Amino acid sequence: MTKNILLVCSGGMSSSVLVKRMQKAADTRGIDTRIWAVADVRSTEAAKEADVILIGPQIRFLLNKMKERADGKPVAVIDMMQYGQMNGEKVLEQALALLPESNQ
Amino acid sequence: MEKFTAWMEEHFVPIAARIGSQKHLVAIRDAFIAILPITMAGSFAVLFNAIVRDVMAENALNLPQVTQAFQWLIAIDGNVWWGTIAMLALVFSFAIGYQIAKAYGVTALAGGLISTSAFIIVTPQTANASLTFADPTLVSQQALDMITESGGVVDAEAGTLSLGAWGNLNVSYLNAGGLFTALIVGLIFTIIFSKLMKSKLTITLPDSVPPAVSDAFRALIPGTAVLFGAGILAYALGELHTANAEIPGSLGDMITKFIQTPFLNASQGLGWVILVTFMVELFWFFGIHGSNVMAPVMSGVYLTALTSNMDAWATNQNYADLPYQWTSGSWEAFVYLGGSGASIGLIIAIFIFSKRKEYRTIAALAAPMGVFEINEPMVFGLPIVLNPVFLIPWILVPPILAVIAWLATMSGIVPPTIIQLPWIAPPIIGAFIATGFQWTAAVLAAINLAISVLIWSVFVIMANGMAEKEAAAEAQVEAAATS
Repeated sequence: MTKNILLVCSGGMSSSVLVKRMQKAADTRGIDTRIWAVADVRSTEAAKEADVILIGPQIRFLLNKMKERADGKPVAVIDMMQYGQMNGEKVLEQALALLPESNQ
Repeated sequence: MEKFTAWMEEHFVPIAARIGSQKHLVAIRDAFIAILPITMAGSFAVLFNAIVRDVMAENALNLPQVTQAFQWLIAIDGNVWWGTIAMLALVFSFAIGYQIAKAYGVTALAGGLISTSAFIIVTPQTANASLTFADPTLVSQQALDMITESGGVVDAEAGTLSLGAWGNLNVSYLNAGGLFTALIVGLIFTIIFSKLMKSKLTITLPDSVPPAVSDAFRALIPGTAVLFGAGILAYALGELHTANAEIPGSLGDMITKFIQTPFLNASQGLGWVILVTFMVELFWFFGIHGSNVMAPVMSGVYLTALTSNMDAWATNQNYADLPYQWTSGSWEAFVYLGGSGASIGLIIAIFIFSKRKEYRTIAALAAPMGVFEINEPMVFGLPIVLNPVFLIPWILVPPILAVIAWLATMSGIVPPTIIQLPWIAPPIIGAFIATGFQWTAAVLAAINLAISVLIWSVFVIMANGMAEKEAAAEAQVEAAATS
């Protein structure tokens, strides 16, 4: 089953850089994923298609709002250091760990 | 220091959360984001004109034949400008109504439509045209009487004839000059509409009626009430104006005179520019997206200034006629070199001076993104967040650059910005384009970049010393342990 991982940041720019690295990490491991990034403004619509939502640390103050939008789906803030180093491997792990067991 | 940062985390960061979840502020921010494609299209129209017309006319080039060959493009740009920059408040009035209704959980489309309709209701229905006679003495008294009798106003001494015509919207209420009116009218009337929609004042039809039909009926009483409210307001202002000519006759004039103009004029002051710059950096130091938090001010005030400049430039092509010196574009052109904190300066300083391997690795990773003003790798990777060594330059460099740019702009050395660029426009090139291809702006951006490298270098070298000390201390500990 494809795992839909949504990244959200302020403008959808910096997280899109991370998307590429995460996708690469997922491809190497042979995990079927769809990873994409959107700006905060577009997150309500995008959240409907996601299985797990990760938000950039710079908009961590919007965590509660994002949880409302996520409708019970797992939401978490990306670790600052991993975000800064654009560590696709580690952030992918964080996303996978958040997935409900039925989808792991 | 640790106590201080803990205190700030506890008391300052929640401010961001409060602003970020204040639904009216968020709606304002999102409405400005929503109209971005419109302002961008308008911006491109101004940009193309600047290339084929204004740059070509400059003395150094003097190529009128190029301008001649591109008359068709100039005409197209004019059309695009008319529907975008010249109608910005009209477009915005829909966006704000839509976002407010969405925030209140009411049909967003209905909110957008109500807001637009209310905005037009309070806008004057007549527009004036005036003609100037080259030689007023040639007009006979008979002709003048005829004109006056049919409703024209003749000023024989000044040699002007003005005519009011009903059924026209004046562009000055619909362009950037009307943004605050669209904002305030949209906010007030859509909030009332949304609240009425949620109250019991709606018509509920049986379940057997199709949802589209019952939705339309539900909006019937709230929509009618709100729009009549706008109509009454416009009428009352008109009556007040008749009683006392000092009072502006329309809500648009009143808001422009008493709110928009004073607000924007104040925003041009150095104190506000420094404060806004400082606040953005302070939020970022705690790892919070400062520009995102400050967006309601940035868009509402300084983007309005930029769009006003774009509009003035599109009509006059004269830097002296621009209404505002400092705009949201000024920050992007001269201050946020490589993103907030002027962090491209830090990247360069690390490449030149840093002896710390981890700094060089992050800088190499961040450089290609920094060129496009994305600086999260520096903020979180280096990190700058809660890093006492980099607190001072992070907070100080941007305000210093802002002061330099402000002085250069106010003294006329560098022209104000007239073109809105996407925020990812690279440093120096961005400044060059945003001011309408003015090389002085590119030079100022380069000077500011050099200054930022200089200041950042001091702290990068300081960080080297600290790393050496730490290494020496560790070596001592190890030596003590083995002996």
